[in-house]
Amino acid sequence: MTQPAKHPKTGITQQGRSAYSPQRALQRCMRQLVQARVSALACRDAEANEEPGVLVVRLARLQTFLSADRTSSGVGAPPGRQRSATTANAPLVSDPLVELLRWQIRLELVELATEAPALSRAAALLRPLLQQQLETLGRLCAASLWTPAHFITSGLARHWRQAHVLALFCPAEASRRAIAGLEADCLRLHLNASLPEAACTAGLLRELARCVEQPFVPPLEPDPGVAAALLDAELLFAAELSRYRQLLTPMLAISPHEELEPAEQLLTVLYKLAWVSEACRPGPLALAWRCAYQLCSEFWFQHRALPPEVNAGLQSLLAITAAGPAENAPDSASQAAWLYQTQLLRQWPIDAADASLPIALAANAADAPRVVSLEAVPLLLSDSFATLVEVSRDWFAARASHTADLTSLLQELALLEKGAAAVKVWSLEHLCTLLLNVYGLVERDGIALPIDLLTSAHVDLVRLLDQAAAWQETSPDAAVIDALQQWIAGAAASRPELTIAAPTPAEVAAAQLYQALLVYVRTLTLVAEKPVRLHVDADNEVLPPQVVLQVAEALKPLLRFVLLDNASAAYSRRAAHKPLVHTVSIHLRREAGVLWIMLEEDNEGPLPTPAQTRQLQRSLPRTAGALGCELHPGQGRWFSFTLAEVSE
Amino acid sequence: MKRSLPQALILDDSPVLSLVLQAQLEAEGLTVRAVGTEAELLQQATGAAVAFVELQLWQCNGFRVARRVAGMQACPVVLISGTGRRTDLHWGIRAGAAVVLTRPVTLRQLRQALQTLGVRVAA
Repeated sequence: MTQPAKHPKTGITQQGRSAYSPQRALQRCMRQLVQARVSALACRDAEANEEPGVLVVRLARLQTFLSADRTSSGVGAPPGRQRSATTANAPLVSDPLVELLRWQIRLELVELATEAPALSRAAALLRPLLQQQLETLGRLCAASLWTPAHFITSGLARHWRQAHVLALFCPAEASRRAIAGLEADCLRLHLNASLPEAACTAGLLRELARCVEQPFVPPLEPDPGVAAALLDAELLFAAELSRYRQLLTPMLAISPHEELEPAEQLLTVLYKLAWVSEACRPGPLALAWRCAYQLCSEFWFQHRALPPEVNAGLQSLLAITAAGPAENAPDSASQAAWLYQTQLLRQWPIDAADASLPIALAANAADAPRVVSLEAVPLLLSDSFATLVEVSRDWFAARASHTADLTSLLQELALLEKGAAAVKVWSLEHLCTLLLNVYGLVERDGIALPIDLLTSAHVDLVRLLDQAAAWQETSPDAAVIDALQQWIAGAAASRPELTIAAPTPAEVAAAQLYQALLVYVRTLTLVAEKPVRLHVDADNEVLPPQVVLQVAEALKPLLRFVLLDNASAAYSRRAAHKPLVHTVSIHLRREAGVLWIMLEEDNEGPLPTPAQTRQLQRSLPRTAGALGCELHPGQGRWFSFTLAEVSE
Repeated sequence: MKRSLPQALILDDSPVLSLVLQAQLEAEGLTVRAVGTEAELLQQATGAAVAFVELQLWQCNGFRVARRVAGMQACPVVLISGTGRRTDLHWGIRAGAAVVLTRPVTLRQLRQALQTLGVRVAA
């Protein structure tokens, strides 16, 4: 058996060294954190030690232990210098886990600091600790050699960091600023190549003493800016900002009188800048970036170029953000950002707010296009293409011969084609046109569906829909487009005598009922926020239009019950391994003057209570028979009734 | 030593936003792993308790990622959107996301999302 290797100088084995590893020390820190939480929970009911205050104190102490002072030993310390975790010496932060732990603690502090009751309690508990730190700092400064090395070795750096963390809980912002300013002054004096003048050091000491003696004012409103001060993400933020600046600068570098074409990359940069700023420097700057993103998105959506003023505004906003907080006093940065935001609002396209886009939402009901607002675009995308979205996943494999589904698919494709044309998403419109041509040739010519080609085309269509929904540039797959075009050319050339088949009476009746119910179902879908696919089929008996309308009215209460039922929530469907899209099928059959109607849905929720059943029965027409409700495990709920010899 | 699988995955191409969310989730007691690409997420999604996906990504978009993860039935997806558009909620759910959160994401929102999804965090 081999003996563990000894270190040539210390003579300590690897096993011995592992006892002092950073991981062990980190585990110790985590244990302390857990203990802090446990003890805070134990004190929940004690009046003297309320949970937030105790937790804040313990977290703050742990935070100071984990401060990023590389001169001290702690986590990662050599064996002979291992110390207690309760001492103020800080660990190295080379281990990313330590850094993450610091983050976690800081975020907990942020959360506690932003709660007003906790803030006052924490301030009361932390005040003596802060004053103690400031007194220590005063003593260390008085004895300082004013060299960079002494700033580190004397513990000034560590104590400043501890004071900084404790000062975050100062109710008075002036106190926080004063301490931060003193820290910067102290560091600057130590970083100078030569010894500072006595007046400077005396001034620093005087200010420090005044800061110690300064009474704390009563708690104010929690300051959201605390979060920014706490987050130690400046380095990451600077790196990310530099990246975005490199991307944005060439985009904005056009002549002053030229108009900037908003592109997807510009929008993405603005989006990222908005939220990264929000995370690191919340406030007016972040708000201004969000405003810029919204503005450019609107211009992009309307295919309009940005005016030169917007370009200039973006450049100035970028300069303000890049300058950083050190070069810009908070007040001036805020004012600049607010001014810029005001300018942005002036540039907002006036007609965007009430812009009207001719989207043929009612294309299936009546070919006259309705004029709808911009809000219709999200509705169009989210409410209208249930079949289209699912078709690429499993529809072709299982239900390729289901002609009724093909009908609804074609309706959705036609609607999407018109909608895409209205919002000028040409690639989407082109793909829809090609698919409609393929389906048209298949239906009219009676040839087999090109399953593989259609599957890839629908996968690409859903990808384009995703891009459109995310307001990104749509990029169609050229290979799919070519294949579709070749297939259409080949099919059309092989059957030049192509004739258009008239729809059967059953198809007409089903389409009429579908149209009569579509708006109602869409409304319910919006209310319930659930995707629903409506499917209607009828037998070959001819149904007059007034009968169809009567059936539609009779079905509405049932549809309302089914769609607003909580059992059709997304989570319950997922738990039951059902597709996310809720399918409701309506079947019509006419036998000996009696119309038999069945509503079938794929949820397995409970059947209506007797009272609900009576209410549903009352909502049916007088000529309707008894309402039957059945639960078919594994399939769903079925509702059926008859309409006796309806008046025509 | 055998490592346990991460409980939560994060796909966000902004290091700052990814780190902030990671810290928030860790504060909730989850084990978190940030992934850099869609492929990496798909590779690690099986076994994860939940995946947090940013909607606006440089190379793709969150809808597509959610759709693919949902297709695999690997783990529930929480989409995070900063645009504030209604499309994000509707289309996100349609794409297979279990929850759609709007930035800025608060700890309370995260807690609610985790409770909705039944994700059990460490004590």
